Amino acid sequence: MKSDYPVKHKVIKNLIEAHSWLGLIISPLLFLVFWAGAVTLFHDEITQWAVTPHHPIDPTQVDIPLAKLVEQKRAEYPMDQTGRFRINMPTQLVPYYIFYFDKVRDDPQSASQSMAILVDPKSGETVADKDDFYLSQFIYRLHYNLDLPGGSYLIGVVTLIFLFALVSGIFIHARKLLKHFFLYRVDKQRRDKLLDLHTVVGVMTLPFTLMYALSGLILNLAIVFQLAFVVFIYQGDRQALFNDAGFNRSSEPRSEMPLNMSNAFTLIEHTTQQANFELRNIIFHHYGADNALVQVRGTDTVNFAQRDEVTYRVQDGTVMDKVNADNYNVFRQGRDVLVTLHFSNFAGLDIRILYFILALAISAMIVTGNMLWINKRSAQRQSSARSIALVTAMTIGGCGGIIVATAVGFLCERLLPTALIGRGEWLVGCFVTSLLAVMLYSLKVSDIKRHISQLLLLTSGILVITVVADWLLFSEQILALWQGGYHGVIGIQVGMILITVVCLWTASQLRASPCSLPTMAKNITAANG
Amino acid sequence: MWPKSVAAFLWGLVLAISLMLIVFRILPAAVDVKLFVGLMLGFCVWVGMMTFCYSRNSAKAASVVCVKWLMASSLINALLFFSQT
Repeated sequence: MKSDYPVKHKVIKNLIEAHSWLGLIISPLLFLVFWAGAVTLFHDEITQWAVTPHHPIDPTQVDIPLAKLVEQKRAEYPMDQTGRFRINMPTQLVPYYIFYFDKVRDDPQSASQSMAILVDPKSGETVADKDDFYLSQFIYRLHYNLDLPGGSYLIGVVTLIFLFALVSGIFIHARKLLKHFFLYRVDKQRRDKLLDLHTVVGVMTLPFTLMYALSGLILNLAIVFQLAFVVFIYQGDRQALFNDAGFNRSSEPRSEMPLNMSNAFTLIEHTTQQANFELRNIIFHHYGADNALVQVRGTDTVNFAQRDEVTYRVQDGTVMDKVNADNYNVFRQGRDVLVTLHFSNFAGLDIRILYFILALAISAMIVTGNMLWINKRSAQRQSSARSIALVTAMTIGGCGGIIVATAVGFLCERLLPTALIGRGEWLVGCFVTSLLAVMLYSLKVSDIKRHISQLLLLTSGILVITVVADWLLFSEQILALWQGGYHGVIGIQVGMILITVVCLWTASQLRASPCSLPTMAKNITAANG
Repeated sequence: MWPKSVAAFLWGLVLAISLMLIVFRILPAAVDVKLFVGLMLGFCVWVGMMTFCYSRNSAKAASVVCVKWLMASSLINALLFFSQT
């Protein structure tokens, strides 16, 4: 017989279950995303730290004209004429041009090969392939796609679940959110302290995490709505959607008539002289053909997250497209605002340090969430010892392993010879090996606190060796770079030393405190049994 | 929890798309504004639906409600599609 009363749903209980279950599943990847994201905030500084001691720049020399440099590189590399050709300008942090182009392979049947090279603006020499110094790029890729094909969708799903965890967390704590906002429990059980840390960090960082989750979704999973809109609104016309979203692309085929490209560089020069314009990069379409286009892309230094771009037809200087504070597309502008907030590239070092601390706090929140689960399960008699061991290994081994592996990555970036073929792959191999080694070692942990302190000491040791290696190998170059105004190398070293100090302090605190999780679990089991 | 997760993910996705198509068709704004609102709101609705599904006692209970919403939103979409073409 059907009940007359509607079923009462245990909303909060169901949400707590979902929050902890999903949180546990995504925690290793989410930790990796936040940890790698925190390090990526200093992407350009890490690039400078990695490359410039090998290839110092002399700021007293004059830059080679860009037009001459482009012709020189086009003569050096067999470039695919049908592809685009992009040049990133040197900056204070990465003082080299970065040329992106498609290189024609020896076998004409095979597809062209994408290349990115670093070029010294003073000597015109190719310093290295961009992927030879892979650390900063690798950590950035770990952040958004795990350096795996299709990884960006996986990270997108993780971000979606993270946003759900935030929303469900708000529902779970809604009643206590204001009432307990200033409550600070100091003499309670360990579980309360962990729960307080988890909740306080979660509440305090909420605006930041909501922004990160939403912008992360737009960056990684927008394809879902893009496909839906293409199918149901645009009747399959993908380019029409892109045009409406402000991503216009030239679809002209390359003309066979040649063109002298000197006017392109005059147009670039003319554009860079505009007020409040900071040149970021240049893109050539159909370079050397009489329908060549040059896209000059910069940043408006006055307005927030405002790109300033203009596309010229090289032959006659006609403006084909313009994006600036007066001409913008709301979709693209809105996306730019979110991306700028996500990467914190709107402000100086101070804001990035604040972002870094917040990202580390969220990483700690993720770990405490798992610790709460382990504590709860350890106290339950019917819990499987194997599942607790697995989650412990995943939490301690996975999260601790990522920290150790990052330090190993820095050491490898400094010590691997620059002439080593596949240097980038070696670096990735060392990172993955050290991560797996820590995870395997963590499967047989008897004392979690001692184990964490050992991992922190190991990280500190590796970072100290890296800084010492820096000075043993490149002391003269580092000093010259500092005097030349390139402070990234010593800045990264200071960062490594600060992290070493934090690791050492945390390790000493962990060694001083008496109780450890498995020990506690054993006591509880003994008391129950 | 797995059945609930499948229900939450799929119903959230389908309903978010369906509701965003309605928003796109009825919002009196420029196309770039509609695309941006659709994208932002789409993810919010997806997560909102996930929260709703997880808050129910079972996947079946969540699905029953979602099916009703999907039928209603599909009907509105169909009406809008035929009235605008």
